[in-house]
Amino acid sequence: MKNRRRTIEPPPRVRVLLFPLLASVLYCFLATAVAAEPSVKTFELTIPRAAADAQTRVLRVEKGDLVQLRFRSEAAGEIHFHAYRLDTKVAPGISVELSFKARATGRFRIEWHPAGGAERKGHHASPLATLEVRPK
Amino acid sequence: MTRGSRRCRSGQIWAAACWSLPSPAWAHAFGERYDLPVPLGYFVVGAAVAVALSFVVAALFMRGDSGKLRREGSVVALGPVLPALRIAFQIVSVTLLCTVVVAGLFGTLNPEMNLAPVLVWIIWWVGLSFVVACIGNVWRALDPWRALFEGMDAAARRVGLANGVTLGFTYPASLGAWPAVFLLLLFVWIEVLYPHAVMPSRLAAMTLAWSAVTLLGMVCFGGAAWRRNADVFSLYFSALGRFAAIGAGPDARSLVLRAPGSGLIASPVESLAMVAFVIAMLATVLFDGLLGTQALLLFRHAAIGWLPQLADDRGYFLGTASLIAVWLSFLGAYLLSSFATAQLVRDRPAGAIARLFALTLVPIAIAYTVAHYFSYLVVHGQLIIPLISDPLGRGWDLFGTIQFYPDIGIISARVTWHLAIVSIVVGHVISIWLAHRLALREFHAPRQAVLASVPLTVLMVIFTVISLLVMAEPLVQFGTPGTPS
Repeated sequence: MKNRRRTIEPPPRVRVLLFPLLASVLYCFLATAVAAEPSVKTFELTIPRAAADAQTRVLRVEKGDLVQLRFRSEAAGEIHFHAYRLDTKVAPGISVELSFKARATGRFRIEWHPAGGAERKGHHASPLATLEVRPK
Repeated sequence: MTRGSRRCRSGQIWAAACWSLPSPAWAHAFGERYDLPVPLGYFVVGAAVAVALSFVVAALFMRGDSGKLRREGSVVALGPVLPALRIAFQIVSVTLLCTVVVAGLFGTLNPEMNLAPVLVWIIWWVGLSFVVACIGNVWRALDPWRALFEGMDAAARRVGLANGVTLGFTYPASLGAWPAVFLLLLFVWIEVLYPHAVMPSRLAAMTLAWSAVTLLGMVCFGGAAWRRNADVFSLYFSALGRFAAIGAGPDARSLVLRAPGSGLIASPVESLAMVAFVIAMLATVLFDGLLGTQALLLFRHAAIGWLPQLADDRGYFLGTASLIAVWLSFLGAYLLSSFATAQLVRDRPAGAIARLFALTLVPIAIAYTVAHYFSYLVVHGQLIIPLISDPLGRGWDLFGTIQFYPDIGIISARVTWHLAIVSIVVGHVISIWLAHRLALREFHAPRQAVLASVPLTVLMVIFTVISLLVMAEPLVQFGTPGTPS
């Protein structure tokens, strides 16, 4: 009988492991509870890019955020956001908006294709911007 | 319409909307990687654990209690199941080879809408590597060129030709496995640096060219000699497969079950060319990641600043130079560590040491492949589901899966990060473990064995830290953050 009772009791080493386990479960629960409210992130993007933008534009949001991209263009063309399967036509002088929920984490390119398809070198061109959706 | 937001609900509408694009604009969409760099904290923890565990493994072996080698695996006889499976595999793989060529030549030009690039670059090259490393070398049964050659050979023998279709030339011994080393570097060059590698028509042409070369090679030198020396894919998958728990049995009707990794230390590689091949495997899996790093970018800028003629608009020259430089520096570092070991042990030449330990680096290569490609395979591999219904991009729906569109959120970044760090650390520990076990078997005295594996352990730590750095590195890339308002 005694022996059986002894096996039911967790050995001290297991008890040491239990604490971080419980703590991490609690942390995950709190993290999801606190981060329930999605925030709206708005970005203004001009085409062609202003000189100040230099290299690449990285738009950083968190998973679950509502993202609004506002495009203002001086030329006609199309915006492609392949990963999220979004695209829109752009005309000069008109503001166009793409809005969506950042449902998948990752780094995604937002591409600009000028009208006329003359952009043969577009293969190597850097994207208009990169959207970075980070996990919470 | 001043404000517009449009979401295309089905793949077909989306495809139709984009159909008017010039095809080169498409190529990058195919290979676009969505991975976020691994945060610094993960990197630091991973590196620290890898280094610490290296010492733990060494200490365990120092005590000598892990020196008792377990038995080398058990043979499982499966009767007629294996030959039947092999024939089924060969029929499937020859069919797929033909499909790739037909889809490439006659299908749509859009790489994402054509079966050929997805099947070759994602399912076969990445996916099959995973299967071979984790389960066993199924490529032996799947190899369509081997199946074609053996089929032709058997047919010729039935007709009455005593030698089948082989011409019986002797493979030049001086060449050794160097053709395979060259072909592996060339293949990775195509994969990583050649922008048209995803163009279906080019891919079909390359597949046909390789089919011609490899069949001709087998006809000239015989299947076995060709596969052992020049057939890059046979050698690549066979090296990966030596890690797996299932190995080829003593005959065609049985398999061997063994401890994962034990196949890598069963026997040394045959030649220095094979050492170069194994190092090329490690260098090439890392190369794709290294290409995006600041270090290589700085190297490029420095090189162009020094000699502006080096810059071509596709970056071919510098890309090729850096691929070869990475391979040669890895090879140099490995040979140096072998030389150091030979100096410490003093019972055999450095070349023998290099051949002995080369395959212990394979787990590091596999671990990095898992870290680098798992999310890519899981996200982009889904493209195969709609494509099997419409391999040529003609609007067919053979199996009713055409409406499926990949879910890019199927694996969260946090899962990918954990998987990357855990796999790199585990791969590192397996490599160190194998190196120590091998040293103990070869050098007998535990203390001498541990001493002998110090140079290789140091090198493995360096390779592992490079793997971790490559996963984390883009974190420090420059970029002007957007301004959320």
